Amino acid sequence: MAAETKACAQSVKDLTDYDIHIGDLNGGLWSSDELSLVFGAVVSMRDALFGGKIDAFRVKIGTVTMYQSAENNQKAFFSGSDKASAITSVGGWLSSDTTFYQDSFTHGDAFFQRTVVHELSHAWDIHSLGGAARDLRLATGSNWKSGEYQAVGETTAYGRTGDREDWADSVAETVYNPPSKGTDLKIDPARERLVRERAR
Amino acid sequence: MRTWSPYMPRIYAFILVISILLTACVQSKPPSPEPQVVLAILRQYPGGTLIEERILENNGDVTYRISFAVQTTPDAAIANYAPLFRAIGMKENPSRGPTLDDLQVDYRWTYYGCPYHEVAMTTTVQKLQLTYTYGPCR
Repeated sequence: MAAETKACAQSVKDLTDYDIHIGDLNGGLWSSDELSLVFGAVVSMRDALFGGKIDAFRVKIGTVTMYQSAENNQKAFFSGSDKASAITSVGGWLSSDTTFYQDSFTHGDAFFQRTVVHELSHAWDIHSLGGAARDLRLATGSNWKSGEYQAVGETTAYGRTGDREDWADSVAETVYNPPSKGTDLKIDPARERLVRERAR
Repeated sequence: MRTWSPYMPRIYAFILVISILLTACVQSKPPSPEPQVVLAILRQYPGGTLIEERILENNGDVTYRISFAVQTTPDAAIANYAPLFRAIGMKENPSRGPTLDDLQVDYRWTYYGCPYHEVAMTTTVQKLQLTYTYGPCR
């Protein structure tokens, strides 16, 4: 077995333990390095939010099937995103499908791993039937006003485009740049608190 | 074998109306502006002297900080920028939370599409500060 194939097989096996499945292994797009980055992001999320416990991760995030597309980006009609670089949508009952477009890989490893966590947070929200984004709105006093999201408190510029993005970016920031530890803060402590409460 | 149902015409009509409405919504949205277009708008403020322009980060999202030395008010700055941003498809974002460096924001404009764009405006007695962020949707 070639080294690349062996490395891919190991990452796929590692991800399966987290109920994360690669849906298009035969397409030939995934490299072992990319799968390794996905796994690294999953481990960061597990350690930052779920006390290092795989079972806790699986219970919250649910089943996720990941794909990689040769397209640079794609229209995500139901999320209102045109030319999105990654999309997570409902897969089956309480499970999610995530597709990474090539744009996801063009901004560096750190951006890609942050995007993996961001997409897994959408899966988390889907698994909770939208309860995560709803709780973030309630906890921060944010709401929708004339069709536009009114974020209250501090969140990322992308988080201010909608409550689901606010939730997903709040999780990503809590994993990589939490207010409780960081200095260059992008979200307020209330958002980190909510993410950690929902992770319990 | 397919059978005729009295509800079928109504279902088809409903699908047709929804399709027309959705098509109209999709078509009415202008394309995401080029960052250079947004920057060209931001770099000019009547009576203002550009005193700072810097890129603050680059990790997928790109953020610019642009500052003018000028005596102005939030209303005057909004009146200057609002029609220009509206013309390229950016809308008022009702969020009023702080931005980088804990500055209180007077006004925000967002392009709700991909790549997304956001301009946050802060005015002080002697200074107009604009924070511009854009990046890919995910």
